[in-house]
Amino acid sequence: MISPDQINAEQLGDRLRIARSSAGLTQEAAAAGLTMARTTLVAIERGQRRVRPEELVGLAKLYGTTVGRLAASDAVHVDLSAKFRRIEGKPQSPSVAEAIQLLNRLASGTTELEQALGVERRFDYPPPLRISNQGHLQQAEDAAVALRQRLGIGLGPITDLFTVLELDLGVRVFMRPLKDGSISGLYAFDAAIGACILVNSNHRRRRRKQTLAHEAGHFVSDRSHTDILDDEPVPLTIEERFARRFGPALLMPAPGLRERYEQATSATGVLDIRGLILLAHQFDVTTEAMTRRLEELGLLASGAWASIRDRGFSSDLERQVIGDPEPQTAPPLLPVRVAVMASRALQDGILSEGQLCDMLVLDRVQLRRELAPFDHPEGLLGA
Amino acid sequence: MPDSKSDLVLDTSVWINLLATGCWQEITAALQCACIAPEHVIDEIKRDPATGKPYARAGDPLYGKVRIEALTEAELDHFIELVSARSGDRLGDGEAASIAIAASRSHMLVIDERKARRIISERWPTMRLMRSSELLTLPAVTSALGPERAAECFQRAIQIARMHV
Repeated sequence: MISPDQINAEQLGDRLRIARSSAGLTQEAAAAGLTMARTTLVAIERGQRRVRPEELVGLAKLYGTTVGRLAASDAVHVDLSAKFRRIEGKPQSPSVAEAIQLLNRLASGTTELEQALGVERRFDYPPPLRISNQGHLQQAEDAAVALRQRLGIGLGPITDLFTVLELDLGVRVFMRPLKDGSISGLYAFDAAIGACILVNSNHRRRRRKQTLAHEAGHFVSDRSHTDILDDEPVPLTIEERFARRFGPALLMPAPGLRERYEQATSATGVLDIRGLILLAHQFDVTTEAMTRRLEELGLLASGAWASIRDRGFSSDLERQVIGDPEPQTAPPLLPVRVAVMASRALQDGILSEGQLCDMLVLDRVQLRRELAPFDHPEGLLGA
Repeated sequence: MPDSKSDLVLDTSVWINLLATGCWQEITAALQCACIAPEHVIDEIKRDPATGKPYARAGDPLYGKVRIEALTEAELDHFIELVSARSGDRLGDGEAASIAIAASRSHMLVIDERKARRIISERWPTMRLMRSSELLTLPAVTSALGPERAAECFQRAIQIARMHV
C-alpha cells in the first residue's frame, strides 16, 4: 500500500493540471474554489509542493473526478483535450469540452480495464492514407471499398458498424448521451489507447451510424487528426472533405448502390419517393443521406434533397412505406466487449464496483443495469 | 445483529439495494442504531434504482435522514492509501471511505463488494462485516416489516438493484 506521502508529487501535479484543464477551469478559478492561493496550486501542479489529503479530496470533487483516478500510480492517463485544442485552434464551448473529457475518461478507463484483466487489445488498423489535394474524393470512395474488402463485408448494407469497428478493427467506440444535441460525435487517436470514437446516443440510430461512418473516415485518413462533428461551421480541410465523402461511401458503396439503383428503376426508368425510401431502407440510412448520396454519384439531379424536403417530406411517409425504421430504444451504455470484461472483473473480484464505475463513467445503478445480462457467465451453455 | 451501542457504516453497494426496497427508512429504523453514510458514498448515489431517474443532487433521499459523515484526518490517510494502491488492491472512493470510517471508529461495516471484502479480510481481519442480504433478513427487520413485506423488500432488492445473494 502507498501512504499519501509516497505519491509521486510530480506525477500527481501533472494529473491535477490535466484534470483542471479538462474541467475547463483556470488556475485562478480552481484555487478560488478551494480557498487556496493561486501560487499554491501552481506549486502543486509543478510537483514543487505536496498536496495535502484534504486538498486532494477537494480538488477531485471540483474537477468532477475521483481521488483514485488522480492518485493511483498505475491509472492510465491521456490528455486528449490538448490534441483537440491543437487541431481545432479555437476556444472550446463547455459542452464540447465536456464531451472531450468523457471520451478521454472512457478510452483511458477501458484501457485500464484491459490491463487489470491482462487482456491485450488487438489493433488491426489499416495503414494511414496520405490524402492528395487532387482526387481526394475518389480516394475516399476507394478507401471505403478497400476497408469493406479488408473487413470481408462485400458491397451490401452494414448492419452493425459499431461492432465491426470495435471488434474487427479494434477501434474504441462509445455511445453516450450528450446534452448538447448539436454534437454528433468525436474522434481522437493517442498512441497509448489507440483510436477512439464517441457518438451522441441521444441521436436516432441511423444518424448515429452515419456519424460513426464519418468519424471512421478520419480514422482511415490520418491517425493524428482529431475531429468534432457538430453543427458548428468548420473549415473544410482536406481531411474533413475526405471524411464527408468517406462516410456515405462506406455505408452506400458506389458499385453496390448503382446496382440496386438500376434494379429499382429498371421497370419505370425513374425513382419515385417510395422507391427512394426503400433504397435508403435497404442500406439502413436516412432518406436524406440516400438522396444526397445519389446526387453525389450523379444518379439524381443536384438539389434533389432540397426539392423533396421543400415539397413536405416527413418521417410519416417513411413510416407508411416501411414502418418505424427507428424505434426509440436507447443503445447500451457499454460496448458488449467492455461489458463482458467488466462483468468478469467484478465477478472474479479483480475490480470493485466503485473502480468500475469510475473507469466506465457510470453510476452504480447504470453499471448494475448494464451488467445484468452478463450476471451468469455460464449462461445457457452451462458451466 | 449489530449491538445497539455500535453504529453501522453502510457502503454504496448496500444503499443502492436498500433504496430499491422502497422502505429503506423502516428498515434502518428497525436496526435501532445509527446508520452512517460517508460523504463519498453520498456522492456515488446518483440515481433512483427503481425508476432509473437521476436525483436532483447526489444522495438526495438520504439527506436529513441518516448520518452523513466526513473523514477525519487519520481516516483520510487510510482512504488515500486504499484509492491510490495498485489496481489489484485499489478500491473506489465510496468503498475506501466506508472502510476507513469503520476501521478507525470500530463500527460494523455493511458491504457487499467482493474485492473490498477480500481487502478487509487481509488488512482488518477483526472488522465486523455484514451483507445487504443479511441485513434484510435480521429478525429485527423482518419483525418490523412483517414476513410478507420483508420478503417483498428482499425480492425488490434482487430484481431492481441486482443485489447479490
